[in-house]
Amino acid sequence: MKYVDEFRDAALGRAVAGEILAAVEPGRHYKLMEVCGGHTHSIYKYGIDDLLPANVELVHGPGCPVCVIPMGRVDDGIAVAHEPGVIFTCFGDMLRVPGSEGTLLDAKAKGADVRMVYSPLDALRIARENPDREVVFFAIGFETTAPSTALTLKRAKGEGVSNFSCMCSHVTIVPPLRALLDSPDLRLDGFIGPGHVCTVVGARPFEFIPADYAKPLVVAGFEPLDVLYAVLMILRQLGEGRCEVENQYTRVVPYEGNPQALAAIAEVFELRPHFEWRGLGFISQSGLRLSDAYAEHDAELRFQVPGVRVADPKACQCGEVLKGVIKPYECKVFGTACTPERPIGTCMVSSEGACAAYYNYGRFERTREAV
Amino acid sequence: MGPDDGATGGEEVAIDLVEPVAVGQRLLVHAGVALANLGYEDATRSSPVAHESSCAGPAFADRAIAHASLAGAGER
Repeated sequence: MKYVDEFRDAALGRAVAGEILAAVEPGRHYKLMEVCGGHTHSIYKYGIDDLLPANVELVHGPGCPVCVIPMGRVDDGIAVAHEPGVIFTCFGDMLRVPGSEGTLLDAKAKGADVRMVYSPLDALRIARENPDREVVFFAIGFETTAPSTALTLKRAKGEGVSNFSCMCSHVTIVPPLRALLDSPDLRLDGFIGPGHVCTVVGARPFEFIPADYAKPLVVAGFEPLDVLYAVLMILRQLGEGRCEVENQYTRVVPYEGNPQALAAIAEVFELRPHFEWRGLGFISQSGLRLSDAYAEHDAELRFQVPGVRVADPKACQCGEVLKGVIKPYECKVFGTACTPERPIGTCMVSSEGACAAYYNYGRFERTREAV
Repeated sequence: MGPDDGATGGEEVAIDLVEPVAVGQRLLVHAGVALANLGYEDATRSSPVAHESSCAGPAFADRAIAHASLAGAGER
């Protein structure tokens, strides 16, 4: 397929893999973290880690928007979905995320009107078509998805669609990265930057990583050659003693981001003082809520939301997986009690989750040779 | 909202964030909203082509160029 094949070219992939081999310092162990679920999926789907020497280790950070949602937040959504007259809308993968007493799909089975949408604009359409019902959109995602929610809320306000509201669980990527870098139990050598988030925010917000933590970051696309080349660029930086933010995904990501999208986010949202992340706990100024100008569309003000913090199941180690401390297959319930069909933790739900990606593509581990 | 491309069964996409958009330009779309305008799929082509929304990069003239272009380093 045009525009895809170029970035899946096997010969070119082997050439880049060879250059990676040449760039690796013998005996040194490299630990590179990607913080985008799309990258995690690509790495496992295309077997990218199999093309790397064993001493180049890819670890998976908190980049899947579904995976980082804590159980209490799912319970909040289910409580709103059970409110009389409510049509509760969300993206498909969110439907299967377990709360303390089931999923949104379970709530639907019990009579709640829960509907899957592909876009917040679909939820707004449902609100227009059902003026006698309250339509709530469960907004999740990083800065990639926030503009679409912002745009939808601007439309709802502009058109006076008063029965549309949003339960905002949008998060921002920079605060958890800082939290990870401050974590004493994780040693990283560099980052594969989140290409889709950078489409919106640009690459500049990540300059603190080389400046404050002396780690390189390369913004990468999502085809196999994108990821491979980003790895090579990081290794070259490390080999040359450089430490910078570089942009491999220039065909999509402007260094300064998308100013219109950023303006829409700034108008509609404001930072929460703190937000709970699964596995990472509360991180200050890491979540978004609706600004005062859009308070009339805030579902958390319109409905009673329990807001109770719920601990993860003891057997589930999503927290450690999200922090990159353990690999998915090192979790006690991976592939046995926890599968994509019956997930216990969030990382097994979404296709962007590290556990689901590893379960689907990497269960049968192959050995690699260290350099 | 952009026009629904009925001929190819395309989806409706909000283009507010990337306006102005011309027919034939390619858009990076996420959750029903275009986040980036990737321009024309072939810079040498001037005639309009069917509306398309996807997230792919520009075609490379050949592999040699592709190898160089994969990096993008230095461009900010």
